[in-house]
Amino acid sequence: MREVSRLSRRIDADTMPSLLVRLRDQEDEWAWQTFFDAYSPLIYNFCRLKRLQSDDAADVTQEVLLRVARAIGSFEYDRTKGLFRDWLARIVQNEICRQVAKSRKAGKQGHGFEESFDVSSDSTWQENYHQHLFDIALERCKLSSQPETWEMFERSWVRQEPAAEVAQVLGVSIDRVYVARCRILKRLRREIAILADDIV
Amino acid sequence: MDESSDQSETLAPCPSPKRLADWLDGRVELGTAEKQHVGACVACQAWLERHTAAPDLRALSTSSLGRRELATSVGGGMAFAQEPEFQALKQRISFSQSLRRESDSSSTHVDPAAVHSARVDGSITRRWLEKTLPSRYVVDRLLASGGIAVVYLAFDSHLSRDVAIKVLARESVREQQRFMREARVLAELQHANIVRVFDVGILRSNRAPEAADAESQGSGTPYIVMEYVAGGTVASLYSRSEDRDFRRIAKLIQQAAEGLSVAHAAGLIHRDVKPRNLLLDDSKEVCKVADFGLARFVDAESTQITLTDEIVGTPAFMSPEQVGHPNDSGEAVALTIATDIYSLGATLYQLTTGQSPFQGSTASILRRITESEPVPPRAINPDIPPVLELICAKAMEKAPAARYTTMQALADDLGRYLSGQPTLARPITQFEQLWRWTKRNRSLAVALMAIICLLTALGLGSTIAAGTLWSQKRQILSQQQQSLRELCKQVAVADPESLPLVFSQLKDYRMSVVPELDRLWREESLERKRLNVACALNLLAEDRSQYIISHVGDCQTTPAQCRAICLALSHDRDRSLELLAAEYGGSLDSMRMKLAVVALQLGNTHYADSLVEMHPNLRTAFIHTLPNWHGDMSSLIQTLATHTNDRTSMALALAMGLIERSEFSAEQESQLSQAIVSVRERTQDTGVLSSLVWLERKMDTLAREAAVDELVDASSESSLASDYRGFRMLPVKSGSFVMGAEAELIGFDNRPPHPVTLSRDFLLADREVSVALFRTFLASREKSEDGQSSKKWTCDEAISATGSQPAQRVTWLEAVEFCNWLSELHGFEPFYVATEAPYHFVAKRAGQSSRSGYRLPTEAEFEYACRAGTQTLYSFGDSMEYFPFYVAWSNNTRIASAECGSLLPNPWGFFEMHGNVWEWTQDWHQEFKRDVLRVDPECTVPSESGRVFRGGGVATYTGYPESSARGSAAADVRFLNLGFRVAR
Repeated sequence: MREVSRLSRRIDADTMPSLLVRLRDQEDEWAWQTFFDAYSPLIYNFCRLKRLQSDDAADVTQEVLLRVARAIGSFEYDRTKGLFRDWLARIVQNEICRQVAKSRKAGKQGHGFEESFDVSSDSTWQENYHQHLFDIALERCKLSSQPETWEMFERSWVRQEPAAEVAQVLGVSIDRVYVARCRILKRLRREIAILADDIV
Repeated sequence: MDESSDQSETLAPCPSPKRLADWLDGRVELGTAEKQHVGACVACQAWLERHTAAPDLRALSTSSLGRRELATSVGGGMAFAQEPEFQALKQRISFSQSLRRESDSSSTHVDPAAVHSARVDGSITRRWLEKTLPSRYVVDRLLASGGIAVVYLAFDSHLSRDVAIKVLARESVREQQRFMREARVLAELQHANIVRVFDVGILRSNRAPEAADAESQGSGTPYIVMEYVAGGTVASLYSRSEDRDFRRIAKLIQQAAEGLSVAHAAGLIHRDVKPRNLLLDDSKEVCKVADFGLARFVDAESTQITLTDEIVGTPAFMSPEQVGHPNDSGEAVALTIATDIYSLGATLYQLTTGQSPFQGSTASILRRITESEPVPPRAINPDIPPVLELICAKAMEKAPAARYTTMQALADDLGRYLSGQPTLARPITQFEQLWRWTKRNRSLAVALMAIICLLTALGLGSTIAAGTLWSQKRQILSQQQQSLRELCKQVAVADPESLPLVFSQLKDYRMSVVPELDRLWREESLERKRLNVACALNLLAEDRSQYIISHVGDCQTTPAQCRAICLALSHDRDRSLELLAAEYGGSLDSMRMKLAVVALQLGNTHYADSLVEMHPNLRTAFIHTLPNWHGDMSSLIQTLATHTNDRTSMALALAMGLIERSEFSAEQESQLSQAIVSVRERTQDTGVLSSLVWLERKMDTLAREAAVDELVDASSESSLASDYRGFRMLPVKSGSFVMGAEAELIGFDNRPPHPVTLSRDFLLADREVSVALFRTFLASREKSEDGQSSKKWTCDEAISATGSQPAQRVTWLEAVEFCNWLSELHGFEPFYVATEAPYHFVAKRAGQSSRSGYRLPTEAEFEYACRAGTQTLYSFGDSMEYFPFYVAWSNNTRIASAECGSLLPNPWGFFEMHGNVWEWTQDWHQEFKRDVLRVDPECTVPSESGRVFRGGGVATYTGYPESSARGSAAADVRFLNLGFRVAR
C-alpha cells in the first residue's frame, strides 16, 4: 500500500464543508473532481436509462456538469428554494430535451427517446440518485478505512452477518466489531452529507 | 485473595447506555471487564446492534445490501457507466490527477491465484504490474488502454516524479519488436514537443532481473517508461460546441509539427497523428507528440503499403495513400512523411471545426478519404481565420506531392499566421491558388483553357491539313473528338463554381457535345455529376429542367451550385417556374427554402413571400438559407430595392448582411446602398428599418465605431432611419397576445399562458442601455450629487469589455434613476417619484403609462415586444440552432455579451431581446393565472420576490432565454448579467 500513503488524503469530515458549498469556489479542484466523479456516472446512467444513445448521453453529461459548474455560484442555484437533487434534475431534463431536439435535427434515427417525462416526478431519478451517492460514499469510506475495520463493518452491517459470527470468523472480540461499525457509519453519514447536503 | 472469584464472576453489571454510547463515539474506553461483559451479554449486544443499525442510511439503498458480494466499487450500480463513451468522458473531465483515486476497477476482482501468472484475461492488470515492475515505480492508475498497449500512471520513487508506463498488451513477437523499436527511437529523439522516454525494460512473470536487453530473449512483456504529460490530449481541449481560440490551436499544431519534423529528420514516420496522440502539459500550452507505436522508418523495406497489408492508423485521420488508395497507374503509393502532414492537417481540421473531416462508418470514411473533399472548415464555422483554412487545405491535399513538402514548412506557415505581420501574411494569395475546396475552378480553368486551345489549334489545323493524307486527317479528327470528350468529362466533374465558365465554352460545340453529354447523363451514376451535365444540357436547349428542379433538394447547398442551377433554368424561365410550382407542393420544408430562392432568382417572389409570412421557423430558415444558397447577387439586390413585401424585404436585408462581404463587387456594394435608401423611403416598418440599420452596420464598420461613444439622441423619435446614435425608440402598436408558455423546458419561474391585451401604443428602445451610456449617467449623477457617493457601480469586464456592450450589474433602483435622468435630459417630466422602501420609487401616474418621461417597460410590454407577433419559444422560432445569430447566450465558455445592436433584430426591429443581459421591468413579481385575461397588466403590489427581469442573460446556465423567461430579485440587487432598456 505504498501508494496509499502518497495519494490518500485523510478527510476530516468534522470540519469539512459540504461539497456543494465548496463548489462555489471555482478553484477548488478537490471539490470539482469529487463532484465530477460522484455525479457524472449518475447523470450518464440516467440518460442511458432514458434511452439516449451513448455518445449523446456523454454529451449531455458533460453539458450538465458544465452548466452546474457555472450556475452553482450564481443566483441560479438557491439552496433555500429547493433541493439540489431537484435542481440538478431540471438541468438534466433540459439538456436531455435539447440533445434530443439536436439529434432529431441531425436526422439521427432510432434513439427511441421517451417523448415526454418529468424528472421531478420520476422515481428513477430519485432512486438512482440516492443509491448512487450511497454507493459512492461507501466506496470513499472504504478507501479511507483500515482493511480490517472495513471488513468488520462490511460483514456485519452491509451483509448483515451477526456480529458474533463476524467476530469469530475474523478472530476479534465482538466489541471491536461494534466500534468498527459505529465509526464507519459515522464516516458514511459524513461522506453522504458532504456529497449531497440534502439526503441525510 | 481468591483468584477464582474473579474468574467465576461471570458478568460485570451492564454498563449504562450512556457509557456504551460514549464508548462507541470514542469518548471513553471500556475496561477489560466491561469488554468481556459486552462480549457475553445479549442485552448489551442488542443495544449496540440497535444503535449501529442506521436504518435511514440503509434506506438510501434500494437494492438489497445483504446480497451484495462486496461493497460496490465506484459506479458499480451504474451499469451504463462501464461504456467506453462514458469512460472517455471521464477522461476528459478529469483535470486533477493527483487527487484521483485509482479508477482501475479490474484490480479489485483479481483472482489471487492469477496475480502471479502473467495476465488475467490476456489484459494487463494493475496488480500484476505492481508485482512485476521494478520496485522504484509505484503504480497509480490506468491512464489509457488500447488494442496494442495500456498506459499506467506511476510514481518514480527514485527520481520523485510522475511517469507514464506503457506496457504492450499483445504478445506477438512482431508487436514486441515494433514496440521496442519505438522505445529505442524515441529515446534518441530529444525534443520539447515529443514525449520523452526515460527507460525501457521487459516484464517477466517470475520477476526475473530487470533486463533491458530482454528484447532478444523473446518472451516477456516489454514496457516503456515515459514522461508523464498531465494536461490531457488536444482532443479534449474543446467540447464540440465550445468557442475556439484559433491562435492557440495554431500554436499547438505548430508545436506538434516541430516535434514531428524532428522525428521525420530521424527517419521516422509517425503514421498515427491524431488529436488523441497530441498530449498537453499542465499549462495546456505545450503540445507533445506521443504514441509512435505505429511508426515506421522511411528507409525500411516495408514502407510500401500494399493492398494486402494491414491498414493501421485511425480512419478519420488517415491519408488517402495510407488508406491504400492506388495511384493513377494502379500501384500502391509509398508512404512518405506526407502522410503525417495530411494527418496533422486533419487534426487541425478537427480542432478548428470540432468535427473530423470525414464521418460515418469506418468503411465509408475510408472510401470518402480517397474520393471526396471534406466540407470547407469555414462553412462549418465562419469564425475560422481564412489563413488557417488554407493551411489546413494544403496539408490535406489528396495528392501527397501537392501538400507541404516538409513538416517544417507546415510549422513555418503556422508561424507566419501566428506572427500576423502583413508582409508575411501576404503568401495567402499563393495558397489561394492551391485551395481546391473553394477555388477548384482555377486549376480546372487551366485545364479547360488547354483543351480550348487544342480544339482551336485543331480547327485551324484541319484547314492546313486539307491537303495531307486522309489518314493524318482522321487522326487529327479523332484527336479533336477526344478533346471534346475530355471537355464533356470536365463538365461532369467540375466544381459548381466553375460551371458558368465551362458552359460558356460549350455553346460553340453544341452539335458535337450534346450526344456525348447525353450519354454521360444516362450513364453517370453520381447525382452530383449528373446534375452538372443536366445543367449543361439545359443550356444547350436540351430540356432537363424537371430533373434539375427535382434535385434542388439533394444537391450541395452552396452559392455556386445555386448559381449554376439558376443559370441553367433561366434558359426557359416560364417552363422552369411552372415545373417548380408543381415540385414545390410536395416538397419538404428544407427543399422549399431552396426552391423559393431559385424562384426569387427567376423573378418570382411569391414563394419567398409566403415562407416569411407563414411561421417563424420557416421565416428564419429562409433567411439563413439565403447566405448559402443564392444565385446572382445583383438580382437579389434589385429585388430588395423594388419588392414591397416588408417581411421579405427584412429577410433579404438580413440575409445580405450574413453573406460574406467578399461576395459583393464594388458595384454591387453601391447598388446595395442605393437599395437601402429606396427601401427607407418606401416603408415605416420598424422590423425592416432595424434590419437596414443592422445591414449598414455590417457593411460599414467604421461608421459604427465612431458612433459608439456618442451620447444617446433619442429625443427625435423620427430619427428611426438615421444612423446609430445610442439607441432608437421604436413605436409598438397596441394589441393582444398570449403571455407566458407551457413549461416544456423548465426555466426559472412558472409562467402559465394567459391572454393579455395592451390597449395603448408605447415606445421601446431598440436595444439595451450600453455601458458607455450608463457611465455618462453615473458621471452626471456624481456631479449633481456633489460627492455624495452612492454604492459604487463597477462594470464586469468579463461580460462587457467595451462601452458599446450592455451595462450590467445594474440595480433596479439605478435603472429607474437612469430613466429619470434621461427624461430630464430630453425635457420630459420624470416618470418616477422617490418614496420609501419597499417601493423606493413609484410611477408618477401609476396605472396610466401615458407618454411622459422614460421608464422601464412593464413585464407584459417586454414580452409583447420580445415575441413580436410570434408564439414560438423565441421570436425567431423554436430552434436553438440559430442562437449564434440572434442570442448572446452562454455556451460553457462564453460569458461576454454582444455589442448592443449587433445581433439580428426581431420582426419588430428589437435587438437582443433574448439573451445578452437580463432586463429589469417595472413590475413587482406576481404569479400568472392560467387562461385569465389581463388588460394593461401592471403589477404595483410589492412582493417578496422583488422586481421582475426578463429575456435571459448571457451568463445564465440553467434556463433558456425564451420569450417567456422570467426571473426576479430585490431592487437593490446586482446580478452578473442584469441590465435594462427603456420605454416611454
